Amino acid sequence: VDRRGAKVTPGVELNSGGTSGVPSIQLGDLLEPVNLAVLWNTAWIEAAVIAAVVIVDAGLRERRRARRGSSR
Amino acid sequence: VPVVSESLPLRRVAARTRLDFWFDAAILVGYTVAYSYGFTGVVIHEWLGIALGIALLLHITLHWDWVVRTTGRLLRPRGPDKLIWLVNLALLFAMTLCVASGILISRVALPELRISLPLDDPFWDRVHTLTAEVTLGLVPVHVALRWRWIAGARR
Repeated sequence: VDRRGAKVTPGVELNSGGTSGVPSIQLGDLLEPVNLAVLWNTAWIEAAVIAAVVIVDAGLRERRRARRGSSR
Repeated sequence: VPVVSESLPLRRVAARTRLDFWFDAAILVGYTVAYSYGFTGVVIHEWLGIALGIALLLHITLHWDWVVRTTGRLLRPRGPDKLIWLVNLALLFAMTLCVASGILISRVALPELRISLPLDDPFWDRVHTLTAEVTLGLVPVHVALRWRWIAGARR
C-alpha cells in the first residue's frame, strides 16, 4: 500500500526520491511468471470465447446452407 | 489498359484491408495487455487505456461506412449483420464507459498531464471494473463474428 493508500500492483515500484508520487515502471517485473500468468489468463478467456463463437457461427451457417440446398 | 485501371482500385482495397487487419490486431493485443492490470501495473494500464480510447475512435472512423450501411439495412426483415450490429453497439457503449471511467479514476496519467479531477467516488471504480468485465466478454465475440473476414484478410 502506497502513501495515498492505493494498492501497489505487480510491475510497479514507487518512486523513492520524487515528490510527485507517480510510480515508476519496472519493465523487468512484467516478465515475472506471476505477472505473466495474469496476461495468459486474459488471453485464454478471449481465445476460448472466440473459439466458441466461431464454432457456433460456422455450425449455424452450415445448417442454413444445408437447409437451403435441400429445399431446392 | 483495362488491367491497369482494374488492378489499381483492387490494390487499394487490398492495402486498406491490410491496414484494417493489422490495426485491429494491434487493438486486440493492446486491449488484452491493458485488461491484464496485474501484468502491466497502473502506469502502463492507464497510458495504454488512453491510447486504446484514441484507437477506438480511429477504428470507428475507419469502419464508419459499415456503420452507415448496416444501420440503414436494420429495418429489413432479413437484413444481415443484425447480431453484429447489436454486439458492436453494446461494445461501443461498454468501452466508452470503461475508458471514460478509467480517466476519471486515473492516479498516474492525469496527474502526469497536470490535470486534476476532484473525484474520489468509488462509484466510478465500480463502473470501470464492471464495464471492463463486460468488454472482456464482448471483445472476443466482436472479433469472432468477423472470423470469415479475418480469414479472408490474411490471404
